[in-house]
Amino acid sequence: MRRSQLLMVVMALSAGAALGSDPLYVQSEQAQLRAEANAQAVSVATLKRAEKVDPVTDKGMWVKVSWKNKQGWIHRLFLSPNQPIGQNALLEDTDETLQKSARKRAPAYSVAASARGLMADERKRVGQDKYRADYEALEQMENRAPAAADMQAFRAEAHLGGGR
Amino acid sequence: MMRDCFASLATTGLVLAVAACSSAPTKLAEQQSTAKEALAREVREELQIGREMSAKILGYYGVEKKNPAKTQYVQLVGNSLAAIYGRPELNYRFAILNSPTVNAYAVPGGYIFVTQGLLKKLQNESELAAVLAHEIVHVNQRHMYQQIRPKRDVSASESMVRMMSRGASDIGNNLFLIVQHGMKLLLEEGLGKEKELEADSMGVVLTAAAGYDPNAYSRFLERCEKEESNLKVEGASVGFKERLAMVRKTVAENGLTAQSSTINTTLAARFTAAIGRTP
Repeated sequence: MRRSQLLMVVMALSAGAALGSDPLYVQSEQAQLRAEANAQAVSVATLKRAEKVDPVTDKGMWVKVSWKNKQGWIHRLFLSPNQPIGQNALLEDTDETLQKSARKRAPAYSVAASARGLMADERKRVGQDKYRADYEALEQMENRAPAAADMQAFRAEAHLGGGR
Repeated sequence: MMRDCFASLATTGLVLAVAACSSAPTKLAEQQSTAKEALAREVREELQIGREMSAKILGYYGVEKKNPAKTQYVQLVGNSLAAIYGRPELNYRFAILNSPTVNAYAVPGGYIFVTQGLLKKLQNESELAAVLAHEIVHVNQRHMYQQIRPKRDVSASESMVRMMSRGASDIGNNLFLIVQHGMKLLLEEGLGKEKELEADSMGVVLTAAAGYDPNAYSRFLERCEKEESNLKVEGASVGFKERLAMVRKTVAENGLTAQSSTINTTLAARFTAAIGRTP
């Protein structure tokens, strides 16, 4: 067996191993429940994000699930063992600005290094960094997300969306 | 007396059974709450690592500033994919790096970068979507975070340091070293063959699910294969031939098909307008 074939088998097996009896949740905006494990198969239902499904079996990257007295196949890409959490769950830690966290950083490294008993050369390495950080560019990147209306128009223009 | 004992036992059993029934939903709710808290903590760690790494990538390469419409276009394509298959707890951010190399990067927390060199190699919006989908899969599958995240089993002394310093996060004061490790993986070592092939395969499914041409990625990889000796591309540890085989197999096995030619005309027109070249 060639290496690439072996890798594909390993990937398929590892993907299959993740399938247990625990419920799965739709991770994508929506997902089609299909009659067969194929994107061309008839859609039995359209499931929305956070819908809970129970896995029955799997085939390659497709998982057969039961949902509200129906059974069908959903691509593994659109499922997660984690119940989706909203951004509100993260808010408690996001009030700290980048500058504040940067100020904390320097003294904190030396405390950690000495407490963990790092060797002298490791301590020296901790004090160096070959990549200069640009926090201003990062803030611009974070603050320049497209407006919801622009997103909607962009997707509608080319009929993007749906989920397989 | 004996009958009284049985009656008493039966009553106790009934009470216990009722108690067990009433505590089951509570236990389930507690488990769900704990799982949610653990996930939220990990996501916060991803964001913390991702922001530091992103600042360094932006500082290292420099970011496109001359043409905001070009960046806006990349953001729109990327967010169209993330809207379908994005982790709801994340905001996906996209930026163009001022580098002539043909490359794209994803770091934990949803920060995704493409180089000017890569944009020059792409011929249409579906190819751009395929490249961004590959990177989104890296984020969603937590490929890098799983490799660099803080270990959960820590010594008592280290736990004490974390408790005294930051408390809530397992990252504690190890952020610097974690970020250094991440930068090394990103710019020098790569994530490894298995993760790159998984991102290729799942990325193609995402591309098609979003409504783009699932064969676009194959065409891009074919061109890369022809110019392999001149290119430095992410996942270079995996040959283009092998990646192509995986992508074609995914398209065939999953029954992925292209959209109508009318939509392709729209996609071609706006790619040309934003990136500034005729395909």
